[in-house]
Amino acid sequence: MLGYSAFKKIIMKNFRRNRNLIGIGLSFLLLLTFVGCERTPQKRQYTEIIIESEPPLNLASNEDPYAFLRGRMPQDDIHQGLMPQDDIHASLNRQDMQNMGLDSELNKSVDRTPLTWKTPSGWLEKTGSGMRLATFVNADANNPIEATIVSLGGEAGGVSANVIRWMQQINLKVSDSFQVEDFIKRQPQLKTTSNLPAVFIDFTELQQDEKPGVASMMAAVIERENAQIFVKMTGSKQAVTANREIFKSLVQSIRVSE
Amino acid sequence: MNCREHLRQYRIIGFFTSVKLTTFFLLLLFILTFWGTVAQVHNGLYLAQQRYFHSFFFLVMEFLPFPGGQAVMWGLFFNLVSVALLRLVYKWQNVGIIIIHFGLLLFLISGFITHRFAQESFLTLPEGRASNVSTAYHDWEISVWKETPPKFPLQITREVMAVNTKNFKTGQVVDLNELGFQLTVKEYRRNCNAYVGGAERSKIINASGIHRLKLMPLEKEPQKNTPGGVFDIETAKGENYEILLFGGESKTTIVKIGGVEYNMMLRLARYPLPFTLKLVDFMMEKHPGTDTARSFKSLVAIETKNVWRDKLISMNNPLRYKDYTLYQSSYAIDNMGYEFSTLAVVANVGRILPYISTFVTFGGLVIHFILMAFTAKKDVEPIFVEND
Repeated sequence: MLGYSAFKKIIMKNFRRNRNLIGIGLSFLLLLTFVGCERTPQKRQYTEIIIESEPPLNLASNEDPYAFLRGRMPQDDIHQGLMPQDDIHASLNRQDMQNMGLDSELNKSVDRTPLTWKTPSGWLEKTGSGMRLATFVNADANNPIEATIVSLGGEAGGVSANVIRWMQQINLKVSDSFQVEDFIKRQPQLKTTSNLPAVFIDFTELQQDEKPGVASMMAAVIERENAQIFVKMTGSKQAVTANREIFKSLVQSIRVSE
Repeated sequence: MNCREHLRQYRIIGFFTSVKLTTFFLLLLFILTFWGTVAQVHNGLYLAQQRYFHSFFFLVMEFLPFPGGQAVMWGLFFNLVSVALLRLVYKWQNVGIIIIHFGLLLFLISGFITHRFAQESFLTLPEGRASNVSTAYHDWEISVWKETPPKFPLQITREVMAVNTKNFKTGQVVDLNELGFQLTVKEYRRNCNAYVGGAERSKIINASGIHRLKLMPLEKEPQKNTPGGVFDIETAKGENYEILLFGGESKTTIVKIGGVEYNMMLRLARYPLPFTLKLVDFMMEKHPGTDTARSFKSLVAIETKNVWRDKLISMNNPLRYKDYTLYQSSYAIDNMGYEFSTLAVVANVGRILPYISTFVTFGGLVIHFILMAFTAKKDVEPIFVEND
């Protein structure tokens, strides 16, 4: 058995014999420790470019073009299973939390019942993709809008939750005192040509003090038995206001093909 | 006695240049690779990489230290270098083995370069959108840009000044002379919750009405942390503003300084790309009768030097441009049917080094086998000098 003193003697002998080498080794390790340590905040300058191909550029000047990433971390192998920031508290993200549940509910509940509609003159209908049954754009380059038709089974989250979600999409602050039910009650009720009831929601009412170029929206929820048809028009406040009646005619023309 | 012979006399040198040590390190590397690969199932890629491959040591069962990938690979590197310097016999008959040896060293060097200098980020685009920046997975920055009218109706161009928040400490001053003010870190939380309201601190400027941050414990997975901070802005003229930025906000906080509006945001760091990439079309095939994706791919257009060209990115078919490789990573479809594609962006200056290492090692093996075949057994030279 190697005693402590013998062990110490061997260590010291080897240390004396190899001290230069040990010194070099330790210096190298010390160098490695400090390699890459950034002590001061790093500053960078770069040009960020975002180009949209289709009107409208539905982006307020101070809006983060990557806002859609928040709460939607890429579900790759690095982020698999990670939930979005889910505890940001207070009224700040309460609505987002509701929306996250709403999103998954919506995705599961696409209703494929065939619908027909009359494309307003001056508007161009494009083939639907994903959950969209149809997408429309107008030909007015100065006041571009986009309209969509989506049909969802069941309650699809309810009109109130969707109204709040849409408000957030156009950067309307949903304060604690905002009474969404009262707002919906104030909105005009429509009947489609096939006599389906619809609620017409005009968000420009909440943007009276805003500039004409601010992102805005009008929407209609057509109620069917066991399904809801959502029709949305987005664009600047000026553009959606100019297209209000045309949009209304599109909503009213929607029929269920039996 | 030459220098090599002199050094070989030392026992410690003999230890570092022993083939047994090489075998030991290779065995450890095998165990780590197997262990780290299996661990990804439960811990995810990031945590497994950090624990098994990027660490020097980690604890097994919370008490037993085990060498991590860094320690093993540094050990192997020193072992191979020591052998090359002191024991390898440099004769023409051994040229194959010498090339293999340096090929293996090149593998380790390329691993180091990738570990130190490769930058991983992602780029998520909806169909029709083009961008020239990718987004970091975990690093955050304070981005500041002046509001300027768009040159083209469908294009936003921002000249961004960004400050990495990695080393932020309370009281730290960041000079943004280019913008005419300096930023002092009053408090910075690497993970926090944000609260709206709180009239007692109503002077704080924030776009979302946040006035208070509550420190939260740091999560192990860095992407689960949301930072926030309170900062003082002081201009050369002595004007002072107090702003609060939170990583969970979608709006920018606007501060008007000297008649100029500055947008400020605490966001995941953006990395400029040497090209602009547009998602033209996202395509997905589902398993019949299910909503599970069988395959998905992205048709993109890449713009370099004002020339656009199309490229299809799919699994195992990435887009390569200079030091950049873009892989199809994931996708999303929002509730209105908009399709988003996420591409993993890897910038690696040493991208071709592993290929070179493979060719060097392979070439060494070929040469060695040819030499073995044509050399009489009695003429075989020893490959290594025996340790004294």
